[in-house]
Amino acid sequence: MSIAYHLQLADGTCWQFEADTALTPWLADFASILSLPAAADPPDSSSWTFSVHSTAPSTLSIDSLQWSMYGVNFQLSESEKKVSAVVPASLEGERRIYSMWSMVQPLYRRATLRGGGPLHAALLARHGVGVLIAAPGGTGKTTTFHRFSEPWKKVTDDELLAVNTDSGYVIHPFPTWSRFLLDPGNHRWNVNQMLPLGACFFMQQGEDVQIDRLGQSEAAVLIHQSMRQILRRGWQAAGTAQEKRLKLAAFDSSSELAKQVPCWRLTLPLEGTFSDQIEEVLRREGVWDE
Amino acid sequence: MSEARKQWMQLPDIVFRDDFQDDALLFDPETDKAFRLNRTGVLVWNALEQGATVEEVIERVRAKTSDHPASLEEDVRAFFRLLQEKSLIGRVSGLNDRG
Repeated sequence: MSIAYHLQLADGTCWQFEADTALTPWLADFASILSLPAAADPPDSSSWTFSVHSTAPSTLSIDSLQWSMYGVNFQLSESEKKVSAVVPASLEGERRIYSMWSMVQPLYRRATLRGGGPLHAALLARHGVGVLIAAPGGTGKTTTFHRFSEPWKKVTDDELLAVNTDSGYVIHPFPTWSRFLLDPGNHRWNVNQMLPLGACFFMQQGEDVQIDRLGQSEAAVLIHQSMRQILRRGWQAAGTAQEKRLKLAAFDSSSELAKQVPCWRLTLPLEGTFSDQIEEVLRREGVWDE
Repeated sequence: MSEARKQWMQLPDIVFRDDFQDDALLFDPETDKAFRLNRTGVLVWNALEQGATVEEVIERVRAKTSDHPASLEEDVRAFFRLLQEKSLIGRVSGLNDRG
């Protein structure tokens, strides 16, 4: 194994990524996209290791959970603290991007089983607090994200991970992988970045700006929809019992998130400003202190 | 067996959560779908814990609500149909089946 890279999540989970020689450049590119630093120390007993192989290692157990996604074969150890992924070293172009995209699913799975989960949403920050704008694909989420201006910080526009901590939900931004398919440039996300989650807005289009507080159960259903839009990519090949376990965990996470984090329905016209109204609502509800 | 005599009950895999400030939720891990229940829906769901006919559910809901609307019976029947369509409840086979 070559150089290892490190991802520290706010819930205490520490992932260490390593690859065999043939996949060293692949892992370096993956770590670069996620802005993962090189690991200073070898993994200890508290680390979760993610090993990327060009050929199936002989140590894999036939009893562990296995699945395939985007041409990558995954295997999860019984304790789930070791993930092995077999990635064809010859992958290029879009297939190479897809193989990296599939790598985040074990991370999402672990976070979901710990009370968090991935969300299909844009992430903005203001006063050090994360604010989500969620909407199904193709409904203008990214366009809305770009309509925010300073002093709002635009963190990521499509995918993120909520982790459950003792002091509430914390968000990590994750890559918008589809951007590489449209523009194969050097896009970067700082996945180690952590923001406390202050509010969620579920966007829909309408003639006038309208912001309506959602009840907890309605918010839970919408959060669950957002979570399953990401998680379902990796479910189809999973074993039935494991799949059910993950689905139940995602529902529980969505319910807890809805109880802890204030949520609103955000109706927006295609043009015009709206951030003042959002700021007013967040100020009034005490989401941030100024 | 006539429709009125058929007994129905909650399916065991369906998750029921009633710890929100507003409505309750049902979750079906098979379809991965969540459904909201208002307070009347919660009464219907709870009435189906041990198995019941539609008529029995209507009576149980009526007994637990003091200020029920005139449309209560139709509301319960409509909700019952929805629970059936979404496969959230199942038939209790063989019980009271007197043709």
